[in-house]
Amino acid sequence: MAVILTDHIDPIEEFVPRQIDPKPFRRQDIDPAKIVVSYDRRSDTLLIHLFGRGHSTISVPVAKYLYVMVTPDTETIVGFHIEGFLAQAVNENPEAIALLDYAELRGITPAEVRALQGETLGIRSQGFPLLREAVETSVQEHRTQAIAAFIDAERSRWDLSVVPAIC
Amino acid sequence: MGEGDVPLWVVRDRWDREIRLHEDIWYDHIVIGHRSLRDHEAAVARVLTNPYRVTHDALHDNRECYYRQRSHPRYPELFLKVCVEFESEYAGEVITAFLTPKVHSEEVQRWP
Repeated sequence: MAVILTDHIDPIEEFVPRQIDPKPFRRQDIDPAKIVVSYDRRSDTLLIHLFGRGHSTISVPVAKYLYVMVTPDTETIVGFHIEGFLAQAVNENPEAIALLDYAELRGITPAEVRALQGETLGIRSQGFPLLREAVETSVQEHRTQAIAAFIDAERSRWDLSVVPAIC
Repeated sequence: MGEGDVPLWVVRDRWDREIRLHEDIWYDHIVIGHRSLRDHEAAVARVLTNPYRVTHDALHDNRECYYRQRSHPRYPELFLKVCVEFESEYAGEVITAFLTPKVHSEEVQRWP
């Protein structure tokens, strides 16, 4: 099933990259029901789509493992893209592992997530999901808060002045 | 070879390493997360066979990132970045791909 592809790009040709100036989203435009968090274990990538997955996106690097996703036309931020989520992001910000509670999981089971959370957070994670269900008003609300907490933690590390507060 | 392990294609890069894109990675991770790449799996293959830059991944020693502009018909001014994990000296598989405006500054250039 090999594919033969011969068209050529000259590696020494000067290439003028597109300058992208990410624009902040309006907090009031976020519908918590449309937020999608997904995690792929194989690539160790976590994606947060704040406005659903209907947008085409460009991933603009803002830090070692963190990208903001913007729309190609307006360059408005519509999500976040984390490469090396467990390898790097959780290493630096252990509380970020809570995002996996709200993620569509691929290549990892909820039981494996629990085990990882136990290893990462220790006693803080014991019985946490049950307690959370008992006291939280809705999963959507808590998912939004988990994303906000992650972004606030990253804000203390990188220049994310263009990203508005989510909560 | 289990379900989902079917390669959509296999190509060889400039070092003659065999690189596969599996169906499940393409449909269940790349396309679902990066909608603009839908129907552009051939463009991903072109990045690997004729890259503009190849870098060592900033986070994983066994991964390399291939970049090429003028890959996506709607967004030729952007780079299509393709990350490959190598399980051996001779073979690897695509693990993610997405559009980005620049080569990541934390990655060390391998080629040219």
